[in-house]
Amino acid sequence: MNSFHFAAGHLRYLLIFDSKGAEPAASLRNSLINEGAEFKELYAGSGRDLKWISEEISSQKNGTCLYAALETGLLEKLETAAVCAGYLPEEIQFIPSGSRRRIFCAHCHHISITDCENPPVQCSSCGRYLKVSGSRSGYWQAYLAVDREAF
Amino acid sequence: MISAVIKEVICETATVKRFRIGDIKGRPLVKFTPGAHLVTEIGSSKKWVRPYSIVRYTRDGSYEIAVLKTERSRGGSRYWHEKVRKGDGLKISLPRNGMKPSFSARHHVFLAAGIGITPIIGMARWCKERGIGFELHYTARTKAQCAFYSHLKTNFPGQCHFYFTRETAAERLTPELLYQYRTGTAVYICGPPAFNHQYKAAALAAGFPDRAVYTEMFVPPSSEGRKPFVFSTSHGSYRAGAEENFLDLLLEKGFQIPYSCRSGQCGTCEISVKGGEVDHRDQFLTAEEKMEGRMLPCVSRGKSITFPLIIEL
Repeated sequence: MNSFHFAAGHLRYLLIFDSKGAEPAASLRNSLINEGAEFKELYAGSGRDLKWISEEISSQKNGTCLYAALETGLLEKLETAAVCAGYLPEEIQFIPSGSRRRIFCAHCHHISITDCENPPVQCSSCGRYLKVSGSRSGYWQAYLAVDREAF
Repeated sequence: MISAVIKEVICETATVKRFRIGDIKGRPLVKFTPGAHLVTEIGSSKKWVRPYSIVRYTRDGSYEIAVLKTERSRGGSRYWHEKVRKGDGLKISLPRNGMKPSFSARHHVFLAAGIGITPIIGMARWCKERGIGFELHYTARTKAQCAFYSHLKTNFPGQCHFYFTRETAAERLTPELLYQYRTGTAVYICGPPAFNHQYKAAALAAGFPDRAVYTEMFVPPSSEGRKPFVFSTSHGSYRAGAEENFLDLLLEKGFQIPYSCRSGQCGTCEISVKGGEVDHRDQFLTAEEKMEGRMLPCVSRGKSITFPLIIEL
């Protein structure tokens, strides 16, 4: 699993994670403690719905950096809530857990949903077999994927 | 530049006049994004070129600007106040935006001092029309000197907060205000240079991301410490006196350089520097861009006569 990058210079940090995101959350927690940063943690375990998380993120004061390590479906909803709350891309870091991904085909611009753990994945529109990059578009809320033959 | 005409002159306060500017043939002028400004060129023997924010787009397709007559006027505002009459002709640029409302913010905070209110009015109206949350904090010396006081009080009754620094029981606008806002708030600061610098620094300290802090001022930076310098182009070498403006000099020499704000805010007049030392005085270019050899001659200049500024035009 990926790890968070500590973004210095924010006044406070909000960390939201579920059981699968506990590992990157723990690593970030150590960094925040070492840096003496002001932070708040929210555990989004079972029974915690999106409304509760949305309220938390939108009630934060200016200068808050948002980190979330959650199951993909919930994370996508949280991303929408964060954008509505006015967070800028540089104030957000997300780590999705689980194999479900939104994939943006660089060739036909179709977004496919895949549960495939191992690449390549097939674009559900143009049928190309795609290699999924680590680059995620906040606009499309999807990972950029390119024809595997291109490599 | 577009040929235009002064359609009306209105005294807003003792020191602020509002001018309605229309197309010379009566056609509606183009609409614009709130916060935009115009470059105006007016005068008979001497042309006064000045940028002014557009306060309002009227129903007949005219623009309204407001001009403060300053004691330290370099001539422009004095000319507008003392010479400009209804029916006078002038040239105007198309509207340009140095500042415009953020489309991603969920709440907007406008901080204005004095004549800095002019670009803010249109943006406040934009927010109101769309039902987006906003508040206006406007500081002036006295109520009598507060331009657009009645207009603001009538149109934005719940959102306006006035601070009159020379009135008895004066309430002061302080930077601490900026610490109370939630994420997704954008702040717009428009006033004299000291006001802009103070509140921009306060906004950043209060956690506003750099991209959510907007400032604009049309006052050029101080001319203190300016020295004569030499610059060379493919056409030859020239000397600039300590009092001479680099952009004016380049235009005089026949170089076609587009420009707009003339205060180092918009980047329109950017030129490329190939050698020599630049005395950067703008607020537009980043440190990286300056390192790459970019400069704004409307406010910046060479540093000395020993090491000529080599520019590519």
